[in-house]
Amino acid sequence: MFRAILWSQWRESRLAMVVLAGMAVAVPLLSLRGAGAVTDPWASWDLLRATARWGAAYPVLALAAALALAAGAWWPDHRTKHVYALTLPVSRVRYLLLRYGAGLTLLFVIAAVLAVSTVVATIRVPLPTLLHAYPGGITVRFLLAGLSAYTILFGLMGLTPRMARLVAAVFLLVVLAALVADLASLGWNPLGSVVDALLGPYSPLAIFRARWMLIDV
Amino acid sequence: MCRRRLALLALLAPWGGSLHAQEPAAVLQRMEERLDSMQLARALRDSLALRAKYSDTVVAGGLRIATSARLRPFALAAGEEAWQSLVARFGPSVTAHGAFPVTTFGSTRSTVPKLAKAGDLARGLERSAALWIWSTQGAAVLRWMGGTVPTGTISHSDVGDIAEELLRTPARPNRACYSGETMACAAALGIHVGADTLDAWFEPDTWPRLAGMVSGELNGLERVARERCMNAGDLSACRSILTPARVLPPVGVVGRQYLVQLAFESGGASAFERLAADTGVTLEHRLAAAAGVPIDTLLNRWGASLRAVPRGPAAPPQELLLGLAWSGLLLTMALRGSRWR
Amino acid sequence: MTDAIQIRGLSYQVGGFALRDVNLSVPSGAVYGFLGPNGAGKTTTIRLLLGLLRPAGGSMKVFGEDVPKDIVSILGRVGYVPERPQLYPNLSIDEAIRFHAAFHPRYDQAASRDLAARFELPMKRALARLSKGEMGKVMILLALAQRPDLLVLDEPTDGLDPVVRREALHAILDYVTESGATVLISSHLVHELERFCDWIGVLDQGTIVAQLPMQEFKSGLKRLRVGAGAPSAGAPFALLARGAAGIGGEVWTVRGWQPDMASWFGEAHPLREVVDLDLEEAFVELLRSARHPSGREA
Repeated sequence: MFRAILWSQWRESRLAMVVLAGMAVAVPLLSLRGAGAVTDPWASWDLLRATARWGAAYPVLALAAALALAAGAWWPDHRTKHVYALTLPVSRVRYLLLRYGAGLTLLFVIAAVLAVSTVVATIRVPLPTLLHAYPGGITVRFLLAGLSAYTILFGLMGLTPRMARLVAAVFLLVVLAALVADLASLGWNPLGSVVDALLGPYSPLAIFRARWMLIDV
Repeated sequence: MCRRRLALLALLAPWGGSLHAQEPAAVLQRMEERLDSMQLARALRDSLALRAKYSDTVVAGGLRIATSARLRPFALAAGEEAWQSLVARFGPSVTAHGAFPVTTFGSTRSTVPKLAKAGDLARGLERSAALWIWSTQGAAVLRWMGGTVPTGTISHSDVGDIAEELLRTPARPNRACYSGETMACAAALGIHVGADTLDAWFEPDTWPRLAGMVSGELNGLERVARERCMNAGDLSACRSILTPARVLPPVGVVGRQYLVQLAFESGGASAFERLAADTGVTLEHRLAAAAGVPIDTLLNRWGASLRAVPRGPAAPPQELLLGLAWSGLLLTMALRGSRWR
Repeated sequence: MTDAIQIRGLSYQVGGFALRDVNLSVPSGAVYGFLGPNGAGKTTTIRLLLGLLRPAGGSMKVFGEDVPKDIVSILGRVGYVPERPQLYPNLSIDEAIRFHAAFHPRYDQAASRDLAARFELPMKRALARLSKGEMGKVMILLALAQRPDLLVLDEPTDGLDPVVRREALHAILDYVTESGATVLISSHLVHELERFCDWIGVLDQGTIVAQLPMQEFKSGLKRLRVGAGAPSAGAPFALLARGAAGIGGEVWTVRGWQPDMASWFGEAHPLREVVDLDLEEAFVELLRSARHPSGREA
């Protein structure tokens, strides 16, 4: 069953997968492209600046992967109004786990591509003393960020139309409340609170605000 | 001034005939005096209007806050919170610093924002009071810190950034400092450095790029010098551009503030009093006095804490566990979704 | 004979449409034609039966198991051909078969291959690029190859050309003959069901209006030509409709007719002719009488 689901999800998101894998190869290589000779006094400066600048690409890549894989997990069923999926002789929980697991497997594939690419990129570049490469660290962080975002998006995209309408209504209400609070100078920002709840310390997406440096001290 | 004169001349133009007999310079001077007196009057009117707005003054410790009657309880709570924090930071003798300038908050028509926190106001009051204390009692240290006062405690992540800055900036003392040489740290922090900071901090082969990083306005000659420095590697031209005020410091403001933070942590409640008392001596002596330990010890602690910060994107175990726990929880919620469409 | 499907007091409501107190029994091994005009609620009833919708009330059992409580076990024995094909369009026929087989342990690969050859399906082509007829054949192939005990076919031949329709119906009949499976087939194409259904259920406006063996349904429904003004009171049959027919004559549509009932008509108003109704005519008369019960003497 898992292989069948995995194959169907692969067929659904293979284009996105190829693009994402391409990006996973390109980002580490491009981020270290301008690295000069270690004898250059500015080598560390250039390397760390470039790494920091390209660091933003990793969480973006993780988010894009999560989005593509969650969409790939649900889109075939949404398109068929869930009729086929719901007439398969398998419990709902098991079916959801299979779909979730298949998406996760594809996320691991992208992470594996990233791992290889970061290792290759860092091997090719001579590092100034006291600086280190973290290909494993960045891959683990990518995987964690992708996992968190994928799980959230998988949950959201799998909502029934009624629940989806409810979530959208709550979100609109929060935006409206933020607007009213701003206009009335209440000194309260519910939208900010929601963002904090999602991205603040110990929140599900806190990892997206972490440090994404392939080369670091 | 030139623009103002042109504007005045444009104003005068329609009456050019009647003023023809007068000396233009004298007319200009009179008009400028008139303009100045008008501005003075406007400032006075604004000041009176401002005073009329505030009907009440709250006193919290040494802090005085001019506010309206409605905002009084809110301002009082914030003031007391700020004062407690100031006492903890600058010691009990903070009261001996004399009267703090009056701070204004709100106006007669203001109401307390419904969901505003007194803590936000308290932090603002604390920041302005701290700046005032530093500027009156520790101006030299404040200047060394770039004229800014650290707000709150410098975080672990900021300390990591200082370490990265130390290794990133191609200054002579930086790598040695990171490797544990105390004197190099003193030089990097600008505590123990000669008058020629450019030579003390940077190798000549780094000067052309440093010149390229100089921001702010340059006059024509300076622009030419910068071109010569960057393109022809003319070191004398580089030197003319890279004045002490324009040289990139090997360690920035946060790194310096962190040293002060460590000195205060080490020195305890009376650290600031000792720093303020030693007015005549050098920066390193004042910092050592505040810390209550020799400057070498303080610098060692600074360097060691920089090296101790885990760097790189390696996910610490708690981050790993947190990510997995959140994913597990969210997945459980997703699995509880109804099969009914 | 036990019932493969037993529905009691089923109700469901969505928007302005409602199913009210639907009672349905499909005997095991029967080919049950589920008739009704468009919008009568046939597809909704089937979706409720397969656990795709949540009923407002009533109970449903398939092979003695509760819907929706035991739906996973039930679905393992049910082959379903929905009204509109609902397969993943990115998969090829080959891949769709592999996917389907992975979830159905009784899936018969040999039968699947035979049917694919019989239907001349392009196995490597993506489902999204199939014609309507080809897609219909794929749906029937999947439903039959999983060797179900119950086939639920919701308008399986709707929109297909006569050749494809014939092939599909033959394949279904072959399977039923060979396996003895129960079939619930919904359609509004009445003449299509006439040939092979042995039970019939008629749903109209969310209510079951008739449910009986096909033979009984067909034989009991007659059109009678009788003399004008004949009284209907005390008739041993049910008078569904009554109207004038030429000079001095009337046409009665009746149900429950038996040949020996001819003697009930006296000489004053003689019975002139008894005409058999085909299933479609019977269906139309049935609906008319169900919708206008008071108009039977019109």
